[in-house]
Amino acid sequence: MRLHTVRFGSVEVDESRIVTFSTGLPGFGNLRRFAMLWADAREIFWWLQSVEDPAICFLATDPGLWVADYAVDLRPEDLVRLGLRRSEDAVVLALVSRHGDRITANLRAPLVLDAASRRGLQLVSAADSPWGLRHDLAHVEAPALAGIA
Amino acid sequence: MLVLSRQRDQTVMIGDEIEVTIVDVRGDRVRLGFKAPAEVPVHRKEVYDAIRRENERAAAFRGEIGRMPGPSEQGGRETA
Repeated sequence: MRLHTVRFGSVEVDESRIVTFSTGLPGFGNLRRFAMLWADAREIFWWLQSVEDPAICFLATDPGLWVADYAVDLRPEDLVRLGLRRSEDAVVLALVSRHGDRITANLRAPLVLDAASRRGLQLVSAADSPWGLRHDLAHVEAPALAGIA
Repeated sequence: MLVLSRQRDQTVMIGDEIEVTIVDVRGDRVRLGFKAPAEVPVHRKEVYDAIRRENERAAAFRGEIGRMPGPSEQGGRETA
Protein backbone atom coordinates (compact mmCIF):
# COMPACT_ATOMS: atom_id res chain seq x y z
CA MET A 1 0.00 0.00 0.00
CA ARG A 2 1.08 3.58 -0.57
CA LEU A 3 1.72 5.66 2.55
CA HIS A 4 1.95 9.41 2.72
CA THR A 5 4.44 10.46 5.38
CA VAL A 6 6.07 13.67 6.52
CA ARG A 7 9.45 12.04 7.07
CA PHE A 8 9.75 9.87 3.97
CA GLY A 9 7.32 11.45 1.54
CA SER A 10 5.18 8.98 -0.36
CA VAL A 11 6.40 5.41 0.12
CA GLU A 12 5.19 1.98 -0.94
CA VAL A 13 4.92 -0.37 2.06
CA ASP A 14 4.08 -4.06 1.94
CA GLU A 15 1.12 -5.06 4.13
CA SER A 16 3.39 -7.61 5.82
CA ARG A 17 5.27 -4.65 7.37
CA ILE A 18 2.21 -3.24 9.10
CA VAL A 19 1.53 -3.96 12.77
CA THR A 20 -1.83 -3.28 14.46
CA PHE A 21 -1.95 -1.97 18.04
CA SER A 22 -5.62 -2.56 18.81
CA THR A 23 -5.46 -0.70 22.14
CA GLY A 24 -3.24 2.07 20.77
CA LEU A 25 -0.23 3.64 22.48
CA PRO A 26 -0.75 5.96 25.48
CA GLY A 27 -1.12 9.48 24.09
CA PHE A 28 -1.79 8.18 20.58
CA GLY A 29 -4.85 6.03 21.19
CA ASN A 30 -6.47 6.91 17.88
CA LEU A 31 -3.53 5.53 15.87
CA ARG A 32 -3.72 1.78 15.48
CA ARG A 33 -1.57 0.80 12.51
CA PHE A 34 2.16 1.35 12.11
CA ALA A 35 4.50 0.40 9.29
CA MET A 36 7.86 -0.97 10.46
CA LEU A 37 10.76 0.24 8.36
CA TRP A 38 14.44 -0.43 8.96
CA ALA A 39 15.99 2.91 9.83
CA ASP A 40 19.67 2.13 9.29
CA ALA A 41 21.86 -0.26 7.38
CA ARG A 42 23.17 -1.71 10.66
CA GLU A 43 19.62 -2.92 11.49
CA ILE A 44 19.74 -1.48 14.99
CA PHE A 45 16.86 0.97 14.66
CA TRP A 46 13.36 0.79 13.23
CA TRP A 47 11.05 3.56 12.21
CA LEU A 48 7.43 2.97 13.23
CA GLN A 49 5.51 5.16 10.84
CA SER A 50 1.83 5.71 11.59
CA VAL A 51 -0.39 4.60 8.73
CA GLU A 52 -3.15 6.96 9.86
CA ASP A 53 -1.15 10.11 10.69
CA PRO A 54 1.61 11.09 8.23
CA ALA A 55 3.30 13.24 10.90
CA ILE A 56 3.74 10.54 13.55
CA CYS A 57 6.85 8.38 13.32
CA PHE A 58 8.64 6.72 16.24
CA LEU A 59 12.22 5.50 16.37
CA ALA A 60 12.57 2.12 18.08
CA THR A 61 15.32 -0.34 18.90
CA ASP A 62 15.61 -3.87 20.29
CA PRO A 63 16.55 -3.35 23.96
CA GLY A 64 18.36 -6.69 23.97
CA LEU A 65 21.02 -5.20 21.68
CA TRP A 66 21.84 -2.62 24.36
CA VAL A 67 21.09 -4.34 27.67
CA ALA A 68 22.13 -7.98 27.85
CA ASP A 69 19.82 -8.96 30.72
CA TYR A 70 16.74 -7.08 29.53
CA ALA A 71 13.55 -9.09 29.82
CA VAL A 72 9.84 -8.35 29.73
CA ASP A 73 7.27 -10.03 31.91
CA LEU A 74 4.19 -10.77 29.81
CA ARG A 75 0.99 -11.53 31.69
CA PRO A 76 -1.38 -14.22 30.37
CA GLU A 77 -3.81 -11.51 29.17
CA ASP A 78 -1.02 -9.86 27.18
CA LEU A 79 -0.32 -13.18 25.43
CA VAL A 80 -4.05 -13.54 24.67
CA ARG A 81 -4.19 -10.04 23.20
CA LEU A 82 -1.22 -10.74 20.95
CA GLY A 83 -2.30 -14.27 20.06
CA LEU A 84 1.02 -15.61 21.34
CA ARG A 85 1.48 -18.94 23.05
CA ARG A 86 4.87 -18.23 24.62
CA SER A 87 6.41 -14.92 25.66
CA GLU A 88 9.71 -16.12 24.12
CA ASP A 89 8.11 -15.68 20.69
CA ALA A 90 7.44 -11.97 21.20
CA VAL A 91 9.39 -9.30 19.37
CA VAL A 92 10.31 -6.50 21.80
CA LEU A 93 11.11 -2.92 20.83
CA ALA A 94 11.71 0.21 22.92
CA LEU A 95 10.81 3.72 21.75
CA VAL A 96 13.77 6.12 21.50
CA SER A 97 13.81 9.76 22.63
CA ARG A 98 16.36 12.52 22.96
CA HIS A 99 16.71 14.50 26.19
CA GLY A 100 19.39 17.14 25.73
CA ASP A 101 22.53 15.25 24.78
CA ARG A 102 21.12 11.92 25.96
CA ILE A 103 19.61 9.39 23.59
CA THR A 104 17.30 7.26 25.71
CA ALA A 105 15.01 4.28 25.26
CA ASN A 106 11.82 3.60 27.18
CA LEU A 107 12.56 0.19 28.67
CA ARG A 108 9.70 0.45 31.17
CA ALA A 109 6.98 0.46 28.52
CA PRO A 110 8.26 -1.60 25.58
CA LEU A 111 6.30 -2.45 22.47
CA VAL A 112 5.65 -6.17 22.25
CA LEU A 113 4.75 -7.68 18.89
CA ASP A 114 3.78 -11.00 17.43
CA ALA A 115 5.51 -11.21 14.07
CA ALA A 116 3.12 -13.86 12.76
CA SER A 117 -0.17 -12.10 13.50
CA ARG A 118 1.40 -8.61 13.25
CA ARG A 119 -0.40 -7.56 16.39
CA GLY A 120 1.27 -5.39 18.98
CA LEU A 121 0.76 -3.64 22.29
CA GLN A 122 2.68 -1.30 24.55
CA LEU A 123 3.25 -2.77 27.99
CA VAL A 124 2.32 -0.29 30.68
CA SER A 125 4.57 -1.52 33.48
CA ALA A 126 4.23 -0.32 37.05
CA ALA A 127 6.49 2.34 38.49
CA ASP A 128 8.31 -0.37 40.48
CA SER A 129 9.60 -1.90 37.24
CA PRO A 130 13.41 -2.24 37.38
CA TRP A 131 13.65 -0.58 33.94
CA GLY A 132 13.60 3.14 33.33
CA LEU A 133 11.42 5.32 31.14
CA ARG A 134 14.64 7.02 30.02
CA HIS A 135 17.34 4.38 29.88
CA ASP A 136 20.54 5.91 28.47
CA LEU A 137 21.57 4.43 25.13
CA ALA A 138 24.15 7.02 24.18
CA HIS A 139 25.39 10.52 24.74
CA VAL A 140 25.80 12.69 21.69
CA GLU A 141 28.34 15.51 21.74
CA ALA A 142 27.22 18.95 20.65
CA PRO A 143 28.71 18.81 17.11
CA ALA A 144 26.88 15.54 16.40
CA LEU A 145 23.57 17.05 17.46
CA ALA A 146 23.42 18.96 14.21
CA GLY A 147 22.24 15.76 12.60
CA ILE A 148 19.99 14.65 15.46
CA ALA A 149 17.81 17.66 16.02
CA MET B 1 -18.06 13.29 37.42
CA LEU B 2 -20.46 10.69 38.78
CA VAL B 3 -19.81 10.11 42.50
CA LEU B 4 -21.19 6.98 44.22
CA SER B 5 -20.86 5.80 47.82
CA ARG B 6 -19.89 2.14 48.21
CA GLN B 7 -18.84 -0.10 51.08
CA ARG B 8 -16.30 -2.89 51.28
CA ASP B 9 -17.16 -5.83 48.97
CA GLN B 10 -19.62 -3.76 46.97
CA THR B 11 -19.21 -3.41 43.24
CA VAL B 12 -19.84 -0.87 40.50
CA MET B 13 -20.65 -1.95 36.96
CA ILE B 14 -19.36 0.06 34.00
CA GLY B 15 -21.32 -1.05 30.97
CA ASP B 16 -22.04 -4.78 30.76
CA GLU B 17 -18.58 -6.16 31.20
CA ILE B 18 -16.48 -4.05 33.55
CA GLU B 19 -16.75 -4.50 37.33
CA VAL B 20 -14.95 -2.46 39.97
CA THR B 21 -15.09 -3.90 43.49
CA ILE B 22 -14.08 -2.20 46.75
CA VAL B 23 -11.80 -4.88 48.19
CA ASP B 24 -10.55 -3.05 51.28
CA VAL B 25 -10.60 0.37 52.92
CA ARG B 26 -7.96 1.36 55.47
CA GLY B 27 -7.54 5.00 56.43
CA ASP B 28 -6.93 6.95 53.22
CA ARG B 29 -6.10 3.82 51.23
CA VAL B 30 -8.63 1.94 49.11
CA ARG B 31 -7.96 -1.38 47.39
CA LEU B 32 -9.93 -1.90 44.21
CA GLY B 33 -10.51 -5.05 42.19
CA PHE B 34 -11.17 -4.88 38.45
CA LYS B 35 -12.84 -7.38 36.15
CA ALA B 36 -12.63 -6.33 32.52
CA PRO B 37 -12.33 -7.99 29.11
CA ALA B 38 -8.75 -8.61 27.91
CA GLU B 39 -9.04 -5.83 25.33
CA VAL B 40 -9.72 -3.21 28.04
CA PRO B 41 -6.43 -2.24 29.68
CA VAL B 42 -6.56 -1.07 33.31
CA HIS B 43 -3.73 1.15 34.55
CA ARG B 44 -2.78 3.41 37.43
CA LYS B 45 -3.22 6.88 35.98
CA GLU B 46 0.14 8.28 37.10
CA VAL B 47 1.95 5.33 35.49
CA TYR B 48 -0.06 5.72 32.30
CA ASP B 49 0.55 9.50 32.22
CA ALA B 50 4.31 9.08 32.61
CA ILE B 51 4.34 6.67 29.66
CA ARG B 52 2.10 8.95 27.61
CA ARG B 53 4.50 11.86 28.17
CA GLU B 54 7.50 9.74 27.17
CA ASN B 55 5.64 8.58 24.02
CA GLU B 56 4.95 12.21 23.11
CA ARG B 57 8.63 12.93 23.61
CA ALA B 58 9.55 9.98 21.38
CA ALA B 59 7.18 11.21 18.66
CA ALA B 60 9.03 14.54 18.71
CA PHE B 61 12.35 12.86 17.86
CA ARG B 62 13.67 14.41 14.67
CA GLY B 63 16.84 13.84 12.79
CA GLU B 64 18.85 11.43 10.77
CA ILE B 65 19.99 8.33 12.54
CA GLY B 66 22.84 7.23 10.31
CA ARG B 67 25.00 9.14 12.80
CA MET B 68 23.53 7.55 15.91
CA PRO B 69 25.98 5.45 17.88
CA GLY B 70 25.26 1.72 17.93
CA PRO B 71 25.39 -0.54 20.98
CA SER B 72 28.98 -1.65 20.43
CA GLU B 73 30.17 1.95 20.13
CA GLN B 74 29.15 2.71 23.71
CA GLY B 75 31.87 1.78 26.19
CA GLY B 76 30.75 -1.02 28.48
CA ARG B 77 27.45 -1.56 26.73
CA GLU B 78 28.38 -4.49 24.54
CA THR B 79 25.82 -7.23 24.68
CA ALA B 80 28.26 -10.04 23.73
